[in-house]
Amino acid sequence: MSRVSRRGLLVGGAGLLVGAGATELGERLGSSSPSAEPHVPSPGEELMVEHGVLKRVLLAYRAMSARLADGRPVPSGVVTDAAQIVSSYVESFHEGLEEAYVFPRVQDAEPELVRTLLVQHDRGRHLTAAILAAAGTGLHTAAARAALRTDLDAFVRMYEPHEAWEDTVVYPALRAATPQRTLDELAERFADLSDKQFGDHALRQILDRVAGVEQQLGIGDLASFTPAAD
Amino acid sequence: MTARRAAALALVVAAGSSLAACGSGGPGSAADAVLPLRVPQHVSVGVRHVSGLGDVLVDGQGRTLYMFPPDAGRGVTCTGACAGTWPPLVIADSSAPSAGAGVIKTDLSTVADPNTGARVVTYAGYPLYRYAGDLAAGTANGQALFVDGGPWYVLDPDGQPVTTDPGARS
Repeated sequence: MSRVSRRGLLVGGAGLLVGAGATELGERLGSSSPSAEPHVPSPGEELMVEHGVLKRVLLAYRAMSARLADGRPVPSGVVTDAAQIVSSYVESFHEGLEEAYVFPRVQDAEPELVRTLLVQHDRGRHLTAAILAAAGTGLHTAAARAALRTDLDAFVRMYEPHEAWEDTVVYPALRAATPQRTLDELAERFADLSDKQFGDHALRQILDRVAGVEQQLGIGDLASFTPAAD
Repeated sequence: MTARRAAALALVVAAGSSLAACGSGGPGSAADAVLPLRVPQHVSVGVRHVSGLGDVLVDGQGRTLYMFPPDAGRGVTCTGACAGTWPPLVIADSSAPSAGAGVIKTDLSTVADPNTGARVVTYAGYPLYRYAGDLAAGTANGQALFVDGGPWYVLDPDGQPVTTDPGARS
């Protein structure tokens, strides 16, 4: 069943175990979970995994900006790939779920925060449109590259706190305000919508696309972020 | 239907056929317990001037209304997550929308809403939506945004999509 395969990614951690050692750790996790019944991720878990995808795109945006600052080339294709992941998976799907199912439930508890998050969703969509438009020019001029760097930096600066506030305030508020039965129904709804919109292996495919962007930017190895020992 | 409108509709149909549908089949039950989308008995459509776009259709609270080209000939295609970003202008099954000043009453109608099982108000055949990023009357932040599988445009009082992109960099 397609839903199980998606949840298998979430539960088995395959989507989170990218990089060296993933296979071995994945096997250990799999072998330590003898239950035949897949654990159903809560709505907050689903949304936070989607935030994980966004975090990795933000790392890619940061790497692009650093290259532009140093005068190094950034292939316009990799900019387009990353921004299209944001547009389709984050802005159209993930944020749509929040706007349809999450924000209305926490509106009373956090009205100003929800308003700010909605404003930021809108700003993000416009920044993504500008990033895609800049990439579409081929980035042949210094002005185009400078404008792109400004937009990438603005996007990263806004979305790092945005998703941190959602993870620590909004999703806990959703859990506090929503009966467990409704949370279970929301989890089912999110999984069904993902399957219908992106297919059976949505997360795996999105992560493959993110990995492709990371490889092109030289940040595909998680170990490369580890500081050297003294 | 005027020749101008027919030409515009043909353009929109062509665009819609080449674009992915928004969402993909949301819940169809009228008693959708998890989608907190209110279905009112009374809905009105009016006209408001928006800077840079001219006179455009708005709801009873002055919130800008949009059309979605992939809907052409297919009804409401914005479902699921899409309907969170673009809440359809829903109305109870037994009700009819009312026309404010400047609105052509005969252009108002309704179409089935797959999100709530109720109806969505249409104008000149276009299902109408609001944008979650418009937090006050008089803004049109969703104008010409390409998200959820297609572009979103405001409508003028004649029922014509306004395709001006205020965010385009020259």
